[in-house]
Amino acid sequence: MHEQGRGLNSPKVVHEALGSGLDHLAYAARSADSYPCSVIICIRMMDQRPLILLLEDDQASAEAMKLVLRDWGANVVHGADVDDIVSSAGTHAAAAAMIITDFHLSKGNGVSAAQQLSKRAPRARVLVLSGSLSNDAQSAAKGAGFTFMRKPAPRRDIISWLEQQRELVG
Amino acid sequence: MESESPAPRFLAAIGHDLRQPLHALLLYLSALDRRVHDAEARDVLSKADRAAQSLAGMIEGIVQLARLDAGKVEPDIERVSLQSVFDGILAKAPESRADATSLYVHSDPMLLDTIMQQIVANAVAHGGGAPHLSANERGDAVEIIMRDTGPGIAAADHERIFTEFVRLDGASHNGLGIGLTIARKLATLMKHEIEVESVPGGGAAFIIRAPRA
Repeated sequence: MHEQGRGLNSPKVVHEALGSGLDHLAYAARSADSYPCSVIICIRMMDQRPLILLLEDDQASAEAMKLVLRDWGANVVHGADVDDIVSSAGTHAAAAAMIITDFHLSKGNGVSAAQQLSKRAPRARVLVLSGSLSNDAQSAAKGAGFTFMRKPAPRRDIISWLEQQRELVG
Repeated sequence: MESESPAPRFLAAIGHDLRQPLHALLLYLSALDRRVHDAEARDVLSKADRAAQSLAGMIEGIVQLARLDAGKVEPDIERVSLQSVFDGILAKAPESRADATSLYVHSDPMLLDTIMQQIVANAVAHGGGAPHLSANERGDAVEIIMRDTGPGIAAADHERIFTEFVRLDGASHNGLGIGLTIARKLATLMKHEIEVESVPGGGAAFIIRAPRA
């Protein structure tokens, strides 16, 4: 998967990417399908966009949320569980400005997962989303000092939270 | 109190599974909005988004009512700033207006927000103009008042409007007619009171009484 020659080390990829800026460099490397994820995150962090760690095990919700977050101007690392995120983000998780997590994950709950990730990303603010009306998710989020929203969460509310966190984190 | 009917329990159980694809659908539509530039396509997209929002509102209402009837909603009472509740309503319903307030109540902030949203949405749906929020101390309680400039409600209907699936004659047919039922049930659950003062042609004032904190 990560063999040399087809990824960033490919002269063609690097040549094309350098002519088009960092976004295109990241895109080119991603297109090459032969790079460690952390390399791409490193490249994308150079453009100063906030890094968001997204924990979501529902594929459609994750994809739609990534579109919204990237449109807003964030770099997003998505995983279905903590291991996925850690594997993809590596040490760059420390730079994460925000963590957005679903509460009901196939491996445990999102609040515990976000608490684990917060140890690696100490300045990250956390938003917990849940489609459940029971108080469990809300209480757990509140107890951990995290923001809570119910699904379906309107884009407007998500963006409003992102803007507030950007002001707080700086 | 637990309902004997299996329907509310069924709906309460599947509430989460209904919300997940709705959440994705609404976010997909909002993401598409930034990517579509053709005027006709944007018009179609706008209608699709309104239909999806309407569907989401109805499912949300049905599931919420089912959970209430199944005894699945448990209030988490705390000291709540009414200004923060008003700010939340203004953000979601920009056509609303609110007086500044420094009052606090003992309530569940999310459930109180839901009650206020239902009342404001009801006013907007029935031509209530710009709903106006305010709060006054009344002994050990606080009266949270939402006034609208809609067509008003006859005295004979003041209680009927809180009954599920009831629509008054001449009322808009948008929605299921359960918003005020949910508001009343949530208020009752938190030991708050909710009532309406209105005369035909004179708008309406919905009043929520909650313990002052």
